[in-house]
Amino acid sequence: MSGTETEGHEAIDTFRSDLQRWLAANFTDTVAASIRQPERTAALRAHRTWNAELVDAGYGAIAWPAEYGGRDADILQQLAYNEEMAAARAPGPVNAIGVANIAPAIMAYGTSDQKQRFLRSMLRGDELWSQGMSEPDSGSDLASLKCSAVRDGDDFVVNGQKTWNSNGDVADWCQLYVRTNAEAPKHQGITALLIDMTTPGVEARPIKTMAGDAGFSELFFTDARFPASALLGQVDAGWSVATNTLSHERAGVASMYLSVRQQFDDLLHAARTPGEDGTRAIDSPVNRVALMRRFEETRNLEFLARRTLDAALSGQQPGAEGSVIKLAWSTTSQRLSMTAVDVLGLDALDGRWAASFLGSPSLTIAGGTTEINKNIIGERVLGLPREPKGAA
Amino acid sequence: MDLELSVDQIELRDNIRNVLEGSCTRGFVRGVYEGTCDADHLWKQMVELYWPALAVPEVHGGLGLSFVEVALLSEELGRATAPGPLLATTSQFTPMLVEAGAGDMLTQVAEGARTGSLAVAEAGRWSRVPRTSVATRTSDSWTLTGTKTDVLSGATVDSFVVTAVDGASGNVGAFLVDASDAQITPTAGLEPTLELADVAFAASDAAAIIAPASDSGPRIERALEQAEVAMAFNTVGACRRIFEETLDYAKVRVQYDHVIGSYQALKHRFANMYLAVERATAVCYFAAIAIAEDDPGRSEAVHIAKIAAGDCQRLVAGDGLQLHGGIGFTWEHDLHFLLKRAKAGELLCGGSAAHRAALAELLDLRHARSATVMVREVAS
Repeated sequence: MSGTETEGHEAIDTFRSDLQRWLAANFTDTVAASIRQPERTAALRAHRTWNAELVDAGYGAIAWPAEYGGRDADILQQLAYNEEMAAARAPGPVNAIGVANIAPAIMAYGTSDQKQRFLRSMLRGDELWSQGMSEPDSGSDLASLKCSAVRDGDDFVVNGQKTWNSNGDVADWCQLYVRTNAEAPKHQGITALLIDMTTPGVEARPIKTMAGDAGFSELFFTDARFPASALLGQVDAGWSVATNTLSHERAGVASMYLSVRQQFDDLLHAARTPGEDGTRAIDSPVNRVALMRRFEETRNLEFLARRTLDAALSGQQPGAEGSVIKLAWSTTSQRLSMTAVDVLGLDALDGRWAASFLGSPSLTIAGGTTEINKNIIGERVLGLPREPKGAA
Repeated sequence: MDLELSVDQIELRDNIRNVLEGSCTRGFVRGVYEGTCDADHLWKQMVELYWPALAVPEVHGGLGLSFVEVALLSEELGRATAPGPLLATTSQFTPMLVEAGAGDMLTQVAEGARTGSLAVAEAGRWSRVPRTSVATRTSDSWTLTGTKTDVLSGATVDSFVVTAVDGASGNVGAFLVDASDAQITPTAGLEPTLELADVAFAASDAAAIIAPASDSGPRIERALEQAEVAMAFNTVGACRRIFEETLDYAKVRVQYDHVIGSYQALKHRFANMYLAVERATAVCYFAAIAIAEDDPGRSEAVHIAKIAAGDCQRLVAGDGLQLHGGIGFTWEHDLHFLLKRAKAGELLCGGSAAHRAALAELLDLRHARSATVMVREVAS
């Protein structure tokens, strides 16, 4: 090991122990319970308060550039951060999509005013963000979106509908993708806007999912008027904003396997805990086989992700391998939720396992369905041709 | 723990692949299947390239490389469906000799003067603890009685290391027996290039290289773990090639005016296969490194690797054949060499079901640990 490497490891060890100490002092059981409480408004308030403390202590998006409130953390440091946050079971950023997706787009395409105005408040959670992409008729085929913006003087006048907006009903701001040119090929007539959700003509209606929660919304736009300063990037160049924005969080795959691993550990613990009659779920051979499969998948996901991380560490650029990890993660996590209910039986009818079971269908739908993901792997990784149009 | 291969390791793997692509062609493999070629010339070439010396320690005239290099060699031998005693000698015989500290024998292996294999399975079951093979102490040595089945290259190797229980103490030991002292029945069966044989011993002269003792079991298991992971690599090597050839075929085979790989129904199956191969590869590398670094999680990693290779085989062999259509089912097409190697590799050294059962035992005996502790173990 070279001297520089040793210094690097020492720096990471120091970072890790500082973070452990800070989490022990600030992410107390009381704080954790207040963020996990079932009542959404109070839970969100608690999450925002804690998120701001985290950011002020320098532990917000550590992968962000320092000038925007991050630490320019390298992958090893990000990995250490993800491990410690997972060990403490600390929640992710309150503006999860904002920090991972919207902020990098603002850093890459935004004006200096936009960076100044939005990045820090987004990171602290002072303002909540939502993303307006999917529409009722544009899900997997996102580029077919129809929600339109027409120029009137300098303003953008927006009409149409969006759906599946995370936190849309509580968001202060929204990164909105609109059609600005109906004549151009579908990828070339889309524009990204950063809009104030209190603008007249904007209405958010919560969507209640089968899990009974209301984390998503539909957004309706009726002659909603936004100033020229809302424009992110160039007019009609919104597709590039959506697709060419590389997340800074290259160790993000680690948080994926860490959370699945945690979920498995919890399930195993529950399966080993004797019920009131003294029996344990793990003593059934059928349950053992099911748990074994989930254990293997969990470990497999971890090794696959670690290999991707090591490739990143040795300087390889991220490719479409993310699609492979997403495929492995979503199916592994979904099966784990389903197995929990099978193994724990009636005990899983309420509480966290029921919630996890009811929420799990979204894993293979949100952020690109499994089917579209497999198309991407087939076409971009394996070099298979696109599906013929109008094939009989 | 670094899951990326080093530059030297990648170079070694590429060299092995190049040599095998030149010498172990499909025509050659077909010749071995059809009895018109034998593997002697290939073996001589492997000896000239010092491949048998790969994992023999330097003090015994070997190259002293780690188990990772043995694993890479095993993967390439699977990819090429290479016949001959190299897989058995490097991934089974040598690890047990190293564990036993059998220096003279290792020197002969390094020189290419001796081939060998492990005789472990009994009645078709690979078991880490022998049930029917018995060793008996004589005045100055041992004799061995019992029947071992499905011995890799059992039909061709010079020597066997046999696992057997000392009838007196009940402890397990590892015994070296010369092939001339055994009754060998070739069982070519499903995959003739693996040269499988059943090997019977009737009071055969045996040298105890790991003498039966209270601590001999774990030492023997360490060598068996290497054989198991190497076989997982061999399987994954064959699977990756099945996947690549099926993918190539889907890019040229035209039906309904388009290449079949453009159809979504097939594309999704390719994505599934790709994930299975990548995942099994990652898991196998992890197990190889765990063995090379003697990581505390090595036993767990070994089971997971063999299971992942077996599961990968089930998917890739099935879909690989299906997506080739009828041509893939013919003797004339070369695909079946790979399909058979992959299936045999799943069954040898313990199938997925057996390793799953062993892993379940391992899992239930321990308390659930927190994710972070395990990640730190993996990372350190």
